Amino acid sequence: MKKCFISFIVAFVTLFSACSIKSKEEYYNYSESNISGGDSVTIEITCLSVLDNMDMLDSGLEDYIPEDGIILEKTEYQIKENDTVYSVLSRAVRENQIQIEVQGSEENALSTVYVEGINYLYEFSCGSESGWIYKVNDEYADKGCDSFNLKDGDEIQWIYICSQEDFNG
Amino acid sequence: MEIIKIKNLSFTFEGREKAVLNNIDFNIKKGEFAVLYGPSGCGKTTLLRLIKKEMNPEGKISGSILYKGINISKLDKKTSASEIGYVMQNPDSQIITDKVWHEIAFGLESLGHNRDFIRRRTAEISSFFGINSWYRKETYKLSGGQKQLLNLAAVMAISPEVIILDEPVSQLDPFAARTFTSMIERLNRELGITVIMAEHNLENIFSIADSLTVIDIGKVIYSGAPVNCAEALSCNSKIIKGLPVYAQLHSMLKFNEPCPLNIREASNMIRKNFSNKIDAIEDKNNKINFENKIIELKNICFRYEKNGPDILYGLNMSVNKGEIYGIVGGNGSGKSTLLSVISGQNTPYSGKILITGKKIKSFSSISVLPQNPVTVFTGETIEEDFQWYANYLGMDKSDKRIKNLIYDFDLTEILKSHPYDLSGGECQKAAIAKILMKDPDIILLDEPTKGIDAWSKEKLIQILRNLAEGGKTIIIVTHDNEFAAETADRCALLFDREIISQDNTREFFSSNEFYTTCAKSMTRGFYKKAVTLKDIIDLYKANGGTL
Amino acid sequence: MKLFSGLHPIALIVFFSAVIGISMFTMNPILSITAIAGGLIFKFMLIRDLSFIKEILCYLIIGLVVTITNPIFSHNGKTVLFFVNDTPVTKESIIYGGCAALMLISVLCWFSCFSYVMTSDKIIYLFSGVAPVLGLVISSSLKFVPAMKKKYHEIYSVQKNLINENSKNLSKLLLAVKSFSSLVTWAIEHTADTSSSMSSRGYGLKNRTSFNLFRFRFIDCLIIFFGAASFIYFIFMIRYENINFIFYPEIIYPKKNIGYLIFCIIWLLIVSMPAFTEIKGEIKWKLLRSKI
Repeated sequence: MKKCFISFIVAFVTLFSACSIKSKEEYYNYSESNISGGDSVTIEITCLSVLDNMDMLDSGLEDYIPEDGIILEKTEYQIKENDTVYSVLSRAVRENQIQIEVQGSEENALSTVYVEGINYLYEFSCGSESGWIYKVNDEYADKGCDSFNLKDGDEIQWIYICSQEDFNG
Repeated sequence: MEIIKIKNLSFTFEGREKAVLNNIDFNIKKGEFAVLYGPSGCGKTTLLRLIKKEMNPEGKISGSILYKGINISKLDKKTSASEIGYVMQNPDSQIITDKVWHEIAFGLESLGHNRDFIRRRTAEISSFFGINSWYRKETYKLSGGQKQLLNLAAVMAISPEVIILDEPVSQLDPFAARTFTSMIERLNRELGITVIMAEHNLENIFSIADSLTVIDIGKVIYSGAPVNCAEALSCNSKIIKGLPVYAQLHSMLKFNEPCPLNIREASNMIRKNFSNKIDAIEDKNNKINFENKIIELKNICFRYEKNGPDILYGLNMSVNKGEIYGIVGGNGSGKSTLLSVISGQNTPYSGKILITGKKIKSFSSISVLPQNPVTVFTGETIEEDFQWYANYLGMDKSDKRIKNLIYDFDLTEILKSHPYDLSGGECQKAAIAKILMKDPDIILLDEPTKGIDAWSKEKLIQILRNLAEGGKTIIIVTHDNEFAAETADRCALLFDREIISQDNTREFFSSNEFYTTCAKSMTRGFYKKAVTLKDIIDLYKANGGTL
Repeated sequence: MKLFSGLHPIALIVFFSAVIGISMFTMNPILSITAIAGGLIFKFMLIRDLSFIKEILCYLIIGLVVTITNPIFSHNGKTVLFFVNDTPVTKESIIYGGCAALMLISVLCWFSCFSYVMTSDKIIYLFSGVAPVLGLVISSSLKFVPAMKKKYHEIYSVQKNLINENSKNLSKLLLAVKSFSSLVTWAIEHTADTSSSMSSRGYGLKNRTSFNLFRFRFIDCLIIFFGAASFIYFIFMIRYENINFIFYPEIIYPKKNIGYLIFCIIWLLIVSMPAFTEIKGEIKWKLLRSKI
């Protein structure tokens, strides 16, 4: 019993010391440096389809849907080599202090990063077929957002869809 | 009016040559208390099972068994189930359900009675049997005596006309056995239930039985009132052993008066016919060397659970080499626990156990004969089991020890049998042989007389004597005062968690007034120091009597 | 005088299903705490034992673990407290964890009361309603298993004296194997006896009935009605109104309308009823005893 207890505490302390803790200000007060000139892409995050399906939206979320359905306006970002859709997204949300939750590539069967929610809007928050998808240059990508490499001039769109029809249409 | 008529009955088991029952004729009147008596293995159980249709063994049957004039095999199922009740020997295995009330209701459920009827009947039965306080208890939490009483109650709930009991008290302690027997007496006397009971020990039921049928090797050798049986059987030394001490005495001395049926009558018979000029015999056998202590227990304290009660507390005891030491005591006094502490199965929380003066215990020095000797065996046959064990102990195939044991214990005939098919006495003999294989110095016996007949008991005493003479130390825990008086060199009474008194056996039982042997009770105030039948006979001879 | 635990099994199972069912789908700390309080008092009235403290400790540990682990897996919520390895820990997810813990504890607590009150005979009764043979099978196994355990220990201790467990490496295993094989033989003999005991007492005849000690009283009707009605009301509530808290992105209390208030009152009544009847019975008993 005692042994169990001690080992538990040791494990806890080790785990704790391996974590780096930052305050909210420290976290958001950050910008990707040493990217200069060169290539750039644009990113925008929208949830227009929610506006047509407000009756399906989970209660409590109403106040968090922007009136125009645009969470992040089209913004330009400089990219460096190996930047992916995901890396640009995480930079964008961090700089604009937008909440995000992702499932890491080690956590799911597809072994790609999966975006669960942006700006408190999660998958299934607006009907059973709802969730986040992305387009690059107006085309649906067929691979995970962390393996989609960008090139100069790409236009990324993160779109919240409420049903399969939104996806097709 | 005869309720059961058995005519010319013979029976042979499936696949056997020899008949177990031969031309049995046997009638039972309505309301009779009939006792079937005989040594174990004589065919009592087979006969009883043939009367109860559902329990019929497989085999070839000739002759007829009639219940109320109808042949048993043609008896309607419902009639057989509801009018003939059957109680078996083992209290545990007959219980079907987990709750006492459900057990009582079981038979009534089978017969399709409605709820209100069952409710009333179970209430009646529990009141009659005094089960009220444990009516809602789990069956596995009951004591052996309670279990057997429950079995009887469950059978009686169906309100049968006849109840058949197959050695119902042989697995019980004497106190529970008396309670059970007196319940059967009540059923017979107060309710007029016909009782057929098989027994190998007549002590408790000798005065209750209306008729006694003695069976030996599948044949009826006596049928009649218990009063006359002593005389009729006097020439059969094997059968006579199971009769109460006073009946044995009567049959040996052949007084011209009816056989006594209880201690009071026996006491009167002795006073009338015996003289007590010499009222004590000198003890000759003081062969024990009191300096040669082999086991010493000092201040032993033991309990099963941390917060449970002390079973043994401050117990001191010492046993000498080559001695037979008997520990007697009431039910639940901790006798078996004491034995388990000596054998090392349980460890006391305080106190010392010294074996030949040392604290270390070697595995081979102590052997235990458990209450259920059959648990000693793990093989399919006795022979297989012995061979495996000899091999385990590292004995050679040519080792003579096993052969000698088989010869000494007369096991040749049962070597091929399955341990569960043996009678109590046979199984015990084989078990003693097995525990002797590791050549222990000390042998512990836990209730060795439980479930064995008088004839086997006689043999057991002989075996133990021989072992003690061969230098083995024997400790016996028993309820059976008669057995302790005949076997032990010294006896001790365990009471209130410790050894209260300890003395030479004769002194021990002759100074006890209540917790003593039948012979002592019979001769109380007449002879001093007569504790066994042999003592009475010796005193009778010493006073000039002749056999 | 165990008043509540003495109810008819059907009443008990309806009542407990309602309480446990509602608790399971309630994410409302007020309702959960009420349920836990009612359940714990009831359990204490039943056992009156120090093991009760152990149980509470166990619940506390479970509660703590659930509360702490939720923020690790969920990063939703408006109020970010701090970031650990660049993932946010929010006030809402901690509170959500706490409420989930309360819900879990209330369910566990009522389950433990349920298993205490639903003794084997009640379960057997419920089963024999479905199939009489099944009830009998459970009943006889409940008798057989303890008997077998006891026998195994007996055989084991006897064999321990014959087989030296300290001599060779595999002696303990050998001991167990030998004891077990002996146990199997015993079990066969035992069941043969039991089955002949069954047939000798008429098992297998037609029209077997099933007896039990339970009486269906008016109070059982009431309990069944009350339990079922409140469950139906609960389903109505979660379908058309709301009794649950909303946690993400910020905490929103359920609307305090009449429907919600009625539900709270009903819930309070339900979860306090077992404890209340036990305490009432206890007081009544004390009073009666003082008059003896």
